This record gives sequence, C-alpha cells and structure tokens, in this order.
Amino acid sequence: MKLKTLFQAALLSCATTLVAAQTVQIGVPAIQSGSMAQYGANFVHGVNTAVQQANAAGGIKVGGNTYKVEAVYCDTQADSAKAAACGRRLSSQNKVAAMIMATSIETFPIIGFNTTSNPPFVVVSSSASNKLVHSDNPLVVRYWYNTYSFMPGLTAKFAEAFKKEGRKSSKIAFMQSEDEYGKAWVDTFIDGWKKVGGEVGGMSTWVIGTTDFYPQITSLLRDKPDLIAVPGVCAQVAPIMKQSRELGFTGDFIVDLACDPAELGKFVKPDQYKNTYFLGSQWNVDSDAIKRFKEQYGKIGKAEPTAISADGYGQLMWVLKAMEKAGTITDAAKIRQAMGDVLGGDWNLLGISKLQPSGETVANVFPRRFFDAGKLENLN
Amino acid sequence: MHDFAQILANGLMAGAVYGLVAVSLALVFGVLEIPQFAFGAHAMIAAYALAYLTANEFSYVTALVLSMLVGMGLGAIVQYLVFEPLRDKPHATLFIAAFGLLLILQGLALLVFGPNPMVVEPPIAGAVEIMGARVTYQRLIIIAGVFVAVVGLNLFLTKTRLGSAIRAAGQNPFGALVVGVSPRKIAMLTMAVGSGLAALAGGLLAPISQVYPTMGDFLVLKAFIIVVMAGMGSINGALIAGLFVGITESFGSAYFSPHMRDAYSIIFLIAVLIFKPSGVFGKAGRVG
Repeated sequence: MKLKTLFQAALLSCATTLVAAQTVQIGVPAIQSGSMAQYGANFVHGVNTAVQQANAAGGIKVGGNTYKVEAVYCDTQADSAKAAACGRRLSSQNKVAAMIMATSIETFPIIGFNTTSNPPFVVVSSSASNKLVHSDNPLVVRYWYNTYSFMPGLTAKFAEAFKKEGRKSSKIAFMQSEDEYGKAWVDTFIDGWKKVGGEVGGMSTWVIGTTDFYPQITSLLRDKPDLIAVPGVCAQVAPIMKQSRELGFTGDFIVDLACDPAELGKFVKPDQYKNTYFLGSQWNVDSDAIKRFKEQYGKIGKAEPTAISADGYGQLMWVLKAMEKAGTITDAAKIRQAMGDVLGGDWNLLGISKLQPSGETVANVFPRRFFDAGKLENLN
Repeated sequence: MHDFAQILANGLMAGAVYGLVAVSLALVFGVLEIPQFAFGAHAMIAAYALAYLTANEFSYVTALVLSMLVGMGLGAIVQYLVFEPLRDKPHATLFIAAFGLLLILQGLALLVFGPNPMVVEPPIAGAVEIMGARVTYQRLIIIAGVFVAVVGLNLFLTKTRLGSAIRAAGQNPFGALVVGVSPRKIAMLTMAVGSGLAALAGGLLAPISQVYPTMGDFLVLKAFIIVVMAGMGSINGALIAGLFVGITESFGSAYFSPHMRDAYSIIFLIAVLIFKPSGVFGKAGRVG
C-alpha cells in the first residue's frame, strides 16, 4: 500500500513537473508604480493582451510541443538601479530566454549583462536611443521608432507643413526629460530642424517626478519661442502644457509618439492643447488588426489602448513568433536570429520592419495636428 | 523687471510649499526626534482625499479642510501604531520605520487608486499680473495658505496650553513629564499637527500637480535638506529656509542653468554644514 502511494506521489510529481515545463516565461521588467505608472500600465495591459491571445489559441507551438505563455513582471519604479535588479532576478530565478521592456530606464542597465547571463537572453526594447543598437550586443532588438532614422524625415515634414500653414516664424524651444530618451529625441530633432533651416530656441530639462515646471518654462519663454517641443508621456507632458499656458505661452506644442490626444485629454482640457502637433505612425492608421486588438485590449485594460499598449503587445508577440520559427524557447541566439523573418505578421501593429544585424529597425513616423475635439489631421 | 518679478513669484510659490512640509518635519523632529520621511506620503494621501472629494461635488475649501483632518487622523494612527511602540529605540530604527511607512502608504495608494494620476481642477481658474509676473490664483492661494498655516502654528504653540505643552516636551521631555504633561498624548498631538500641515501642502499642491502615489517624494527630499539647513527643530527657520531654497532654485534656473535646479539647494546645504553645522537657525532642543 505504501509503495503504491509512493508511486502515485512520484507520478503526480512528474506530471506537475511536465505541466510546469509546458509553460514558457517571458521577463517583463516594467514601471508599475511611481509617476510613470500609467505609462507602465498601458504597456503591461498590452503584454497581457498578447498572453491572453496566445493562450486562448492553445499556446505556442515550438518543436512539436505546445507551451502556455506566462509574462513574469518585475516593478522597476522608473529607476535604473531597480531595473538592473529586476533583470538579474528574472534571468537567474526564472531563466527567461527573452525580456521585453518599454523604456531606456530598463534597457540600458539590462543590456549590460544579457549576453553574459546564464542563460543569455534576448532584449526587445522600445528605447529610442541610438546607444541601443551601437552597443555591439547581438541579442538586442528595437521594437519602436528610432529617432535617429525617422527624425530627419520628420523634421522635413514639419518644415513642409509649417510652410503650407503660412507660418511666418517657427522658433522651437525644447523641454527635455533628463534621460536617454529625452536627450536622443531633442538632439536628433534639433539636428534635423537646423538642416531644414529651422530656428532653434532655448532648452530646459526636467527630471521624472517634477511637478512644478515654472522655473524651466520661464527660462524657455524668455526666448519667445513659437512652439515648444515636449517629448514624454502624457502624464508628464500635461502639467508642462498647463503651466506653459499659465505663464502666457500662446504658441503650439509638439508632442512625441508616447502621448496621444485621447490620453492627453484625461489630464488637460482640449482648449489647452488645441493646435498641438502629435506624431503618428501605422498605429494611427485604421486596420482590421488594430480594431481586433482594441476589442481584446478593452477586456483587459478597461480603457482605450495607446501606442505603448500596442508596443507591449507587439514586443511579446514578436518574441513568441520568433520562438515558434526558431523551434526553441531557450536558445536566445536562435530566437534572435529568427526575429527578422517573422516581422511581417498582422500582430505588428506599429509597422516596425527591416530588422538589421545591429538590432535596428525602421518605421514611418509623421506629424499630425490636433485642431479641436475629434479633429485630428495627418500631415503625412 | 517683468522677468525678475516672474522669477521671484515662481520661487516664492515653490519655496512656500517646500517650507510648509519642512515646518511639519521640523515640528515632529524638534519634539519627537522622529525623521518622518513618510510625511511626503501623508501629503499624497491627503491629496487623494481631496481629489476624491472634489470629484464628488465637495467644494475645494471643504475638501481641503477634510483632507487636512484625514492627514491629522493618519498622523495620530501612525504615531499610535508605529512610532509609539518604537519610542525608546535608536534613531536608526525610527529612520527605517519612517521609510517603511512611506513605502507602505505608497503601495496602498497604488492598490486603492491605481496607477492613473488624478487631476484636481483649481478652485479659481485664471491668473493675475503682479508687476508683470503672471501668477495663477491657485499659486496665490498656496502662498496665502502656507503663511496662514505657519502663523496659526506659531499662535497655537505660543498662546495655547496644548502648544506650550508641546514646546515643553520638545525642550525638556523629563521636565514636562514632571509637571504632568503626558508624553504619549503630546507625541500623538504633535504627529497629528505635523501630518495635518503635510496634508495641507498636499491639498494645496494637488491642483497644480497631479495626484499619484509618489507625488510627495520630491517634497520630502527638499524638505529634509531645508530642515537641516535651517537647523533641526526650528519651525520658522524651516519656512525661511524653504523660501530661500525656492527663490534660489528659481533665480539659478533663470540666470545660471535650469539643468542644475536641484543642485542649488545642495550647494547651500554643504556650505551651511561646513560653516554652521547646527543649521542657520539651529539651537539644541529648540521648538518654535
């Protein structure tokens, strides 16, 4: 009797191990608290949408086996030291073969050790910084819009749009966040804007968590700019816009892809950002895939998805498709190698393409102008 | 002149908020010797209370008063549950407790209210021009609110029996005990008053900021620099030092570099620590 019980226990244990082994885990170091928590939540809901979609289809099929998908989260609190700790934990404890991440805050500490970890893991990142693909890291890929590649074209489109609008003057000032993303965005914009003969005004910087921007804005306004460019997420852009208006700024704003009009409307009244220039991408062009995603996302996020939600969804789907193509859930090098071949699917809502050996990708970005509630014009 | 007035107005507003949180810290540290790092989170909880109330048709003033009461209640609870049991423990323990409390309150706020920031509309929209400087009514309310609160605190501490008891406990705890002042009750009252002031700062700041779990972090960091600069326990000194820090940041950003905004106060702190380690207004055991 005892022997039978022991045998049953051993069988149960084996079965449990087998079931556990049939799950593939993907590491997601993400911002889940702090002043950028909403940004992180948008990303996480997008990831969860992909997890649900994959599992509803029975899981992913790799090398004749079917695996359920699990996203393993770690809160980075928008802090690079915590992000590094998250990366190490997800690698050493969960042994993930891939991690996906939304910002430079997570990316740069983690790409310092992803190739030397045991096991090594692929990093899919939305960092806009050029450093990402200049680090000679063979396991890094970008799933976002590379400011260095899209900015020359974008600034030329802005110059064209301003000319059509009959602007007499278009001096642009910059409110830059003190991080890799902010610096890359502003540096490339200024470079592109100067090349098309544009006038550059002052620049001020701010750190995440700042709530009073009066000193920086006062400094910017001394130069009398016609426009202020504010790259950042909506929750941070909103107080800058409000306070600029309070200080008498009557010009227009330029906002990055990370913030769209619908989301901004949760923080600022539409009349305060009327005439603002937003950036647009394939995410802003209607398609059946985007409609399907929005329906699925609504059940999880209980809100309208943003480009960052599509980013989280796309990053995870990219990894899963690459695992299926590579026939492995553990070999990071093979997974990375397969990633270029699977970008063509309709899951790729951001329209990212042409993966290069450096991890660089390409995408189309264009300006849009928000004239009034419900009236948004693409200036492509 | 226009620039100068604007920069001064910016500095006064920022300095007033820094000063108010610094005053609350100075009061609690001066009397209880507790480095109450969690006051930033108390300000945040009060801001959430205010956001919730204003979203439910309460007027801003009513919501502000109620959120202060929430802050005072939170202070009393925290003193009873956390700091009272640790009364005789070393400073390092109190420091860790305060830091832990900060994380717990932020975690609770995240759990209850979620990651989405809440927005509070100012009670009076618009701005007024003063000597060429544009100052919103909300910023005037902040400056006025802070000065009224600090004057009120001074009157409370110097003109009432309870205030005298707090000062006595701060200056000589044993002597206060001998003359019948209950250290437990005074500690709870002091923490409640300090927390109420931090709550007022949160409530005043909510319409110009957004309300989110870590909104008080920068406040409490600046406030600690200010308290050390002013001298531990110097209440009016904390307000003056707060204004000094706000104005320095504002002028430094305008005429030197906005990139160094947060460094100016640190530079002055280092100078104070070198030349007057007890702080500009610091005297041992001083409260008020």
